[in-house]
Amino acid sequence: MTQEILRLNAVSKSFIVNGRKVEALSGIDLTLRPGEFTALVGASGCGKSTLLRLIAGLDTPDAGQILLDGVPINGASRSCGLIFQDHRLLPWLSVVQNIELALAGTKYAAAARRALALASLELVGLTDFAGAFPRQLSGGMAQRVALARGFVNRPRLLLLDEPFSALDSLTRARLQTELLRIWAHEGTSMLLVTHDVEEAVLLADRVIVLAPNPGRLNIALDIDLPRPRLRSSAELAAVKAEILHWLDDLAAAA
Amino acid sequence: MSGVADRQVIVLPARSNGQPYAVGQAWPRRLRFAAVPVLLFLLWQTSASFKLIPLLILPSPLQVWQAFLAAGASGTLTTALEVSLRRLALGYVFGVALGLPLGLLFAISPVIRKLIAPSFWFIVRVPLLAWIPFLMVLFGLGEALKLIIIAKAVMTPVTINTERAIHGIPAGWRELGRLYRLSPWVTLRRILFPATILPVFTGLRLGLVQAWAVLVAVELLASSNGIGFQLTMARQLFQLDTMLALMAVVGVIGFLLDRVLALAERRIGRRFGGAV
Repeated sequence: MTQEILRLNAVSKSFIVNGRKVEALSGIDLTLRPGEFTALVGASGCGKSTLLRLIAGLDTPDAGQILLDGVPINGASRSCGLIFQDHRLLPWLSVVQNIELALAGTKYAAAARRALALASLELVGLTDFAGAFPRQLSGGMAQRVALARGFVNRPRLLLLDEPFSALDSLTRARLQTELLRIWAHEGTSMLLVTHDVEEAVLLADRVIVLAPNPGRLNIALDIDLPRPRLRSSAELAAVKAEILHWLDDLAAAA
Repeated sequence: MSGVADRQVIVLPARSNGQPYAVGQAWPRRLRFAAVPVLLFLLWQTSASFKLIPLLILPSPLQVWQAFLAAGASGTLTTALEVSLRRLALGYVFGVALGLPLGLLFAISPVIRKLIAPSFWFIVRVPLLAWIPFLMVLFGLGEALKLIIIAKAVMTPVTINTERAIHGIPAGWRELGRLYRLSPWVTLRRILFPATILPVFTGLRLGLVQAWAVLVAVELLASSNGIGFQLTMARQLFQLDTMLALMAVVGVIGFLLDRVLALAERRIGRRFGGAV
């Protein structure tokens, strides 16, 4: 049991859209090992985000079981963090207050919360912006604050829902590097949902491909490339090409 | 001489920010708002000076000013204002006390919304002035009539804006509360309240402005005191200078009420900025 942080057993989920039942996810079996960086790729609409929301405890599956550290999940939990595509910082709270919000449900005293929030802010290199408000930040900085908020609870598992897809490519590259550095430092297990295959190959130990209609697991691919990886390396390009090829086949089959 | 040499060249002085005046900008920007009022005043004064309209119908600016001073000195103006503003305050409190919870209920309970909203909208769609005869029959000409009318005028925008504010909270923000397992109280204090305060306040401002307009109207029609009543009195006594002075007072008060709340609204907007 200690060799897995997350286990999904035959998880299914459907939604009612315009009075019609649409199966979003069907029979998902998935196991994540502690400390591992896993990426989930797939075409848009294949249920990637739905899967993350189920694991985060924001939605409940229609069938199947989700175990976090061997325990069935029951609603959101502090040992499982979630980073959204948009930074979701509250405009009326300063940067440090936004991070403290993630601790507002804990028993920590105010001073301890502040200390933890500042430590997390240091992790993303934004200590100088503790008192700033979200509107004063660039998109990349705001997403870094969101990362700090995601890490402040020291989660066992951090879910990332296309966290860099709204950023320009230079900022995205910088934040990817940043994320790897924090991951190496914290040892958190990561589950990244992305439609950017290069991002998946660059960051992850393992890439899982999701097939659409209904969303189901297709293949899992271990990425054995040594770190630090170079975006421009031929090996990386080869793996990327292989996964893209796979996705094309899936799209053609659909 | 050539035409070019004849042309007068005016070098405009640099503006305080160092930018030269743009062509056709003889009025400094900040004084532009005064152009039309000054023109209207001049027209009025001209009409009075040359008696284009009989002074009995349109008194001169000076007459109106003197009537204003007289009304102030005799105490009629202050008494009337006191009565009207007290009515406004009381009716406003009633209207807000009804509108806020109603908007909240509409937003959070589909059942209550289904039950009450159609009637609410029917009441809203019948203009306030059309309600007055009916309410006069029902409640007589006393204070109750005025309070009900004002409260209704306030309630409408407050309810609508409160409901809209709550519906307008982005789902992603509410989700943060669930994700971090925040208590209902913390969620309310940290997320829901700040996310709604600005649009709710807009409803409070609109309500106050409408309440003032409606108050004057109901006093015109069915009252024995207050500024609206003084207006009708002045017309019946054919003291048109007094009437115009009172009109100006009504306008200035309405303007100030709106200004003060608009200023507060802007502050709230800065504090909770980006909330909407």
